[in-house]
Amino acid sequence: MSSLVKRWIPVLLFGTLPGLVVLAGYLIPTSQTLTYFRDCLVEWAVIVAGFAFFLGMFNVLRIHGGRVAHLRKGWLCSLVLLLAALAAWVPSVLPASTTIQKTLDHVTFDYVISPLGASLAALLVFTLALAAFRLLRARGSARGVFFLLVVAVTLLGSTPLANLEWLADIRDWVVNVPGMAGMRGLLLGVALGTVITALRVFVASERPHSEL
Amino acid sequence: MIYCPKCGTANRRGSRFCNECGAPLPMRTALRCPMCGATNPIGNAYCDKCGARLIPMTVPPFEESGREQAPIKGLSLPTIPLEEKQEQQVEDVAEGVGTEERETEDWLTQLRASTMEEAEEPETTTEPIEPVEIPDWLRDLGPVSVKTQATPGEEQPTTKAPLEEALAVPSPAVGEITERLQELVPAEVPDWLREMAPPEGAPPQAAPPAAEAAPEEAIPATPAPAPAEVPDWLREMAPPEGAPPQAAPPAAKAAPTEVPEWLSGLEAEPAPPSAPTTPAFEGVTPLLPPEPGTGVAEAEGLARAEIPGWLEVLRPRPEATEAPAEEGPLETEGLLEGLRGVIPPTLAIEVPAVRESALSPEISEVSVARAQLLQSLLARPVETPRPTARKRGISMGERAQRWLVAAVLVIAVGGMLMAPLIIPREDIPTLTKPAEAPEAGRRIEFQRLKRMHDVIQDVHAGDAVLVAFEYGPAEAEELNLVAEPILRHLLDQGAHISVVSTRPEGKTVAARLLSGIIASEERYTETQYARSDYRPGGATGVSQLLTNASTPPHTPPELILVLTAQPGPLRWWVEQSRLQARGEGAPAIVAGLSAALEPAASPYLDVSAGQLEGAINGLGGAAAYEMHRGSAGRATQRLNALAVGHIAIVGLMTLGAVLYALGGSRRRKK
Amino acid sequence: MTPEILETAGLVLGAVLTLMIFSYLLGDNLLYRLALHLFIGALMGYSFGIVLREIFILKVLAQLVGKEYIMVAPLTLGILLLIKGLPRHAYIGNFSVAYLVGVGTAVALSGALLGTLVPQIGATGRALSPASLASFRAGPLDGLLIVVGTICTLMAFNFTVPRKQRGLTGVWTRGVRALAWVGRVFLTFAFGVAFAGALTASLSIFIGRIQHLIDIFTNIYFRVIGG
Repeated sequence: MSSLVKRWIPVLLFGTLPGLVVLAGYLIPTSQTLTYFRDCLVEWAVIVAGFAFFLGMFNVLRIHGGRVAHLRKGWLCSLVLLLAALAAWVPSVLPASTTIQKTLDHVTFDYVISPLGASLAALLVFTLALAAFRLLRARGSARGVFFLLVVAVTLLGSTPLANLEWLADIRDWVVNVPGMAGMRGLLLGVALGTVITALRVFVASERPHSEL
Repeated sequence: MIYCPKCGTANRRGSRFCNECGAPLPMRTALRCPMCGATNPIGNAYCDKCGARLIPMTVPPFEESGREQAPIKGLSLPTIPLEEKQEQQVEDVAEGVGTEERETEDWLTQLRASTMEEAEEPETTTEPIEPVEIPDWLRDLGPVSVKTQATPGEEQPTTKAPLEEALAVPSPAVGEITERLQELVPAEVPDWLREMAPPEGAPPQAAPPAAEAAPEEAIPATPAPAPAEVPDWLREMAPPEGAPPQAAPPAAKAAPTEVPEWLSGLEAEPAPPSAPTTPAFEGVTPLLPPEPGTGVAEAEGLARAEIPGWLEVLRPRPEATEAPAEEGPLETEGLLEGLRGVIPPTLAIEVPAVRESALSPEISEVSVARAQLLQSLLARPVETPRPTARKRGISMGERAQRWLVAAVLVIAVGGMLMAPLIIPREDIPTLTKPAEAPEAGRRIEFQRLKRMHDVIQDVHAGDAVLVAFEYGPAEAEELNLVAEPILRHLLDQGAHISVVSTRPEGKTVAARLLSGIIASEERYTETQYARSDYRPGGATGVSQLLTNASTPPHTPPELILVLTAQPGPLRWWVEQSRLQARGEGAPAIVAGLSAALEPAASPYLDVSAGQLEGAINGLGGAAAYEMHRGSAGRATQRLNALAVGHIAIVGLMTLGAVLYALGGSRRRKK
Repeated sequence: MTPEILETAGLVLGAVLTLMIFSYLLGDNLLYRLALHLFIGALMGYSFGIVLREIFILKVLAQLVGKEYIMVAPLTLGILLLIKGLPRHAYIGNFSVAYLVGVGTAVALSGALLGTLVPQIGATGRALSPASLASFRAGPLDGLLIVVGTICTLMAFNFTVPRKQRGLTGVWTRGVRALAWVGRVFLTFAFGVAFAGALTASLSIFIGRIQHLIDIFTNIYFRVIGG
């Protein structure tokens, strides 16, 4: 009985059945009944996905809260995280369009979140440049040299200097012919994998949602 | 002869099946003794050389079974010659066993043989008292009846050597003989024999194990020496004082009899504490000499017998003999009914006999230490090994590389961006103008840009345009520059923009950007920027956003603009818009993408696919779009820095390639 | 506090936080980790407020108040999902997770099937069409290259160890392996272009950050020096 409750009822009744209804709604768009149920089920899924965000957030708070409560290693950073989460949440509970709410919202997003997020994304250039610098150490082969050539042509061809417009033409061909062919193959492979995985989920062969 | 394991019939050597019952006979040609390694004929129960048992105790040899020896049957036409002796000799010679050994008169063999002859008529339930050969001197005294006493219910020694069994003679016969002698001719009984008589009133003694009573009966079996003289063979078989306790039946622990002088000299050192002291000649005296290490003093007049090594090994151990002293469970059924402490019904061969090695191992300190270490390791609780995250220290070379890359990029980009602070912006040359090149129109990138421009150009005033802001503040530094010219174009066209997003911060990013754009131009109004909607869930959220956008009171969009830096949202929007618009007029989709998405978007942008009408990618695409529209914006201002940054990165790549190529060749040379 | 002072203070705060993040170039340190945790916490709290308002209040509660009691179903599923955070009773959340996975899978499956597979396979076939060839510089050669490249790239995803075979079967196997090698060449093109694109994107963001820092410092400089 416990296996039935823990595994099979969730999988079949709450997973496979709604999924098949939604799939039918997409594959048979002319049926208004199926389309209605499809839209209904999709709307409910969006709401449940919102609660999934709450669950993720509560988990993060629990972990960092425990670290602060027991003064484990890294408790100071966890405390900063908790205080920042509380402070950033405050503007959303204040009445909208009030001065204080706008100010806090402005400060939180424009002076804290934006610069920090952009700076973290900017750090990536150093990591990628360092990886390009060390590429032949890891992959000292003809393929590594060929890879570097493609990267160099693509970079220099996107912003060609004067008298090097021919480089832009080469870059255009590299990106839109062999590069596009390779990308299309990857895209088809990903789509095929998605189809197969989805079918396995429907027949309960893969159960990422149940404990068993 | 080969004895059938089923019926016991003797069959000719070489027979494969029993002539009596038809059971298959063992095909082995010889048995190897586990003790001394000598080869023995198949039919042997004991080794001819050392006397060790050759077959397991659960299959009692024919000699021990006490059954009536079945006559040799099945003597049909022999398959092999009848001269078994000759064959045996031939085999022995072939196996390297000389006949000399066989011909050697082993006193044990003789003794056994004599015992076997006496055991020709065994009793079924009790051990029969073997008929003794009454010496002449005893015969002169008159008829003597030798009673037999059964020995059921008494402890049977489990580790009795065959020697003891072979020489087993119940000692009460001695007492009775003595009594009889006393009755008949009390005066003529020699002193030594009189001293052997049990005290009057003593309880009847139960029959002891055969081995301990052997000396008394063994004496009549052989020519009796003069009363005063102790034969050599008897001297050698002087009974130990510290006899194993199980060899002494409980009944035998009666009042000790007087020990004659010549025998008292053979008394060993005091017996071990666990073993009750039993005087010799009480009927329980074992034949075997005392245990080594018990410190048997040299008896007066009797030298301690030298026990051969093979016999010493067969000595029952005190710990082994102590165990049977504890009364085991009483067998209530079967052939062993009434006995205690019998061997459990397993093959004796499975239980290795307790053997004391000839040489005691010298335990070294190293071995003790290792054993202690092993014990301590085993005593530790089991811990699941956790992978230790080893923090690898960064070497100076790696640190230098990191600083070099950082320095080059900061100097190149920072220098280019700070140039307007030093040099007037108008004097700064534009390093790159990709969209203004003569051949630019032939490039695919430019064709896509132009297609996008044309699609937006076809948007009329009041048309609903769905703009998906699928990026957050991290990517805003790049995508705001990409989105700005497109949004300006849409606002210039008078489109009615609806902002949607599947990211929580997407709405805020959109609000910041649009409010800044609208505020920058007077012709733009806030009414052009309408509702903003947020739905989580990835593709599910996109599906619902499209559904909502098409549901009254909302106007179905004429155009969908996707602004993203991730391939996932782009794919969701392209797929879902195609799904929902099947059979109806599908809105055109254009995209403003990060430079990283250019290869991922190219399959959708392909003319043959037609899923994306057009797109611009990254800072370069935004700058090209601005130039195409004839207005220079922030993207164009950063183009120089982008070009210098590209050159710096390519330079670093080249430097690294050269350095590692040289370093690799040097390593290969080494 | 006037808006200008607030703006200046905010810009300075942004610059300080940017430098704290860039201190990672010198190695992992406390300043970097503090700034990182500050970003995660702030973004999480900010997003929580938006999700709470947009989904829970404006969608669920508003519709329940509007007597659309059908919303009890997703609300129940959502609350059950929250129970997933309790280890002992986590199995109760399996219903909600199964629902999410089922619907999400259906959406992804239909999108992949009808939104990617069918159009892209058709596009591969139409690569040799006149309209498509007209867009390429090299015309038919480019179109053929796209078709061959797409097929060979799909054949490059081979995770089994090929057996050495002889005869015609061996020739076929070697031919397939050769095509897979060609596919890997096309994949190298694709990954090289993607790497270059990622470099350009991050460089663009870095340029924006440096520009921002320069703007802040010049702003402060001229504000202080210029009075």
